Amino acid sequence: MNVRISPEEISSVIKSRIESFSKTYDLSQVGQVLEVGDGIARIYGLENAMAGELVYFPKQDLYGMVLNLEEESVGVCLFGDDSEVKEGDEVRCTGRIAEVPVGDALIGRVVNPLGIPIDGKGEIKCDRFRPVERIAPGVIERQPVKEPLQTGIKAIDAMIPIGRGQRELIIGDRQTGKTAIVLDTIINQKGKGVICVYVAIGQKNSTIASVVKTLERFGAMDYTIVVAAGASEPAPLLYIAPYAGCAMAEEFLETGRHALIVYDDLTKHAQAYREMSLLLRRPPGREAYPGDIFYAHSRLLERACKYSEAKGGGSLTALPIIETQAGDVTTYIPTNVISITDGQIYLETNLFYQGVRPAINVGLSVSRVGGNAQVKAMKQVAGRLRLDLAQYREMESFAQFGTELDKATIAQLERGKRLVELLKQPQFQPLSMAEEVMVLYVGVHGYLDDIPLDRVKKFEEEWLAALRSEYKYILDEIESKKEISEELDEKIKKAISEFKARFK
Amino acid sequence: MDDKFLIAEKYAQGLFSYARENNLVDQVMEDLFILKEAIAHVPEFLYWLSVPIIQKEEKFRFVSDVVQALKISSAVEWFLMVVIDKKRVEFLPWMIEKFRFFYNIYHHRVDVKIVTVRNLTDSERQLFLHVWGGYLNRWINLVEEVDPDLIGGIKVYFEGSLYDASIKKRLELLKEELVR
Repeated sequence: MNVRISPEEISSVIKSRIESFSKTYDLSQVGQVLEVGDGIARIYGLENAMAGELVYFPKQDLYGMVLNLEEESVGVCLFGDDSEVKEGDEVRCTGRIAEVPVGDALIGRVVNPLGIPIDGKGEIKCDRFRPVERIAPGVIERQPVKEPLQTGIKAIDAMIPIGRGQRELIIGDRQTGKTAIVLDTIINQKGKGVICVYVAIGQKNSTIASVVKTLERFGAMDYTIVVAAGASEPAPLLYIAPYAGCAMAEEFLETGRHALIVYDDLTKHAQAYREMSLLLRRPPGREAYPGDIFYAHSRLLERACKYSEAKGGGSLTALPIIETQAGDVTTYIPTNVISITDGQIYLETNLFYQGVRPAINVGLSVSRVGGNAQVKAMKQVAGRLRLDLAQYREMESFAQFGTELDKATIAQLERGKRLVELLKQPQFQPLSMAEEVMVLYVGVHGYLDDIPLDRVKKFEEEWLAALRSEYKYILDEIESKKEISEELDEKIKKAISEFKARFK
Repeated sequence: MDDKFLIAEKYAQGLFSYARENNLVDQVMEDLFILKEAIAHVPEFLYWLSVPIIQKEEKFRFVSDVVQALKISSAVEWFLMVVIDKKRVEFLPWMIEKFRFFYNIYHHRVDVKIVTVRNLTDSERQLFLHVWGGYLNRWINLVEEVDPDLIGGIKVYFEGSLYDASIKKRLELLKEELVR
């Protein structure tokens, strides 16, 4: 129906709203800037300011957040350029705490930590806001993690499974493929009803641009929000970026949907918070980090959860990333975040350069709650896989001494080598759960033992192609029943025998 | 904890106690006001008193000359010498502010700044002092400022608060309302 509204009608609506506008004055708290520098300002006055409250600098049209409440002054971090702020400038309390726009309108967009679009695609029309900080849901509102979040990466889904609502740390040195894992995970959520939020903290703008481009290339921006706080942004923006991203993701959690949030990375977040804290003259602790750095991360990661059915059953899965130096996980921030999360995926430089990609050290990686969320079919193959790999690693160290080995040990070593080969996976090629199960099935059931090591990759590729065409019914059955029944087991064995007979 | 304010408060409190015991509160306030004006006009004054390269005795002689020229009371002169001796000259402007704070409490007064689009007439000023004096329940030290940007109405600053009843602010609020 075509509704026509005349200009007179619009004018009359505006007129009535102006007439009904009754506010004749505004009463606010004001203070004066005492000193400013490095994104931090000290304000005299503002006696009733609240911790975390937004304050407004009218002359510069700039906002800041109250962080330190002192006897005569307050310490404020500025969300913008501080070069225009001068001593004696007026500052007003707003009575509001920092909040960001939330909602479906943000999906597919790149925003800064204040929710302002930076992708040049125009204004974002959001009618809802959420505070960047909030108390994490309590025990009653939660339920245990029980649904899997498929990453599409064989090694992770089989041995370090992630459940919806879990917090799984991805830790490793620079250039070990940490971001690659989360990008694969985001790409794999296509059509699975999981909305992803990628929070880039302190990264180069070129890196952020390439991440966005990759996500666009694989159609993943259709269900992803990118919150970008580049390296050139002031420390306060880097500090609130993960909290702002979490608030955006919580909107989906609260509406009974599933969300995945990636913090890339929390090391730079900790450094930004350290910078701010030192400028605010808070006492430094270990490695000069402030005393509440653990709380800064724990309160953020605790917001990830699986809601009870009464609360809608939504979930928020968090994948924080931590960058280590020379593989040292015993430094302050890595140990903190390891203890907060429900497990970690440990990536190693050595493995990366040996060609094992993703370079996951399966011995040190663990998922404390994801096992409950793993589907039965995967459990049926993954149990053997973990055992075989553990034995392989143990014997591998013996084999290095050049001692003579018995037949069983040699067979175990050969099996292990093939399994390691099988777990290698190129970037941006996530597999479905059923495909992963079938690929691992051939490995753990010894069908690869007589295939030369350098032909394992080719075998896998062709086996996958065969599964997708002539043996599609196997994949379909695993996807629907989520387990390998005895009957299906027979079918699978038959299919593998047929395939092996013609594999050259 | 901000040391600057704490130190300034201690010195101001000391000076105020002395002034009150000797019935010199108004005189000292007046002298400090002159001193504040002098500092605002000649910023080098404070610098000269705080540089460590100049001998303390030299600074004392300089203070005596300045005090004589500005006709400041001996109470403030001695106070300045104590401040120089304790190497706290950089906090002097804050000490004056704090003294004014104690002075206002003592005299039941409050500092109020009014911003208008034009100068107030006598009757408007009297009306303002009457209404706001009653509202704040204290005598008002009024500072007036003119800002044509307000379009109309008034802005009143008092005790860390801003009462904004200007047309400019009302238009801003109306804009927010319409956008919402």
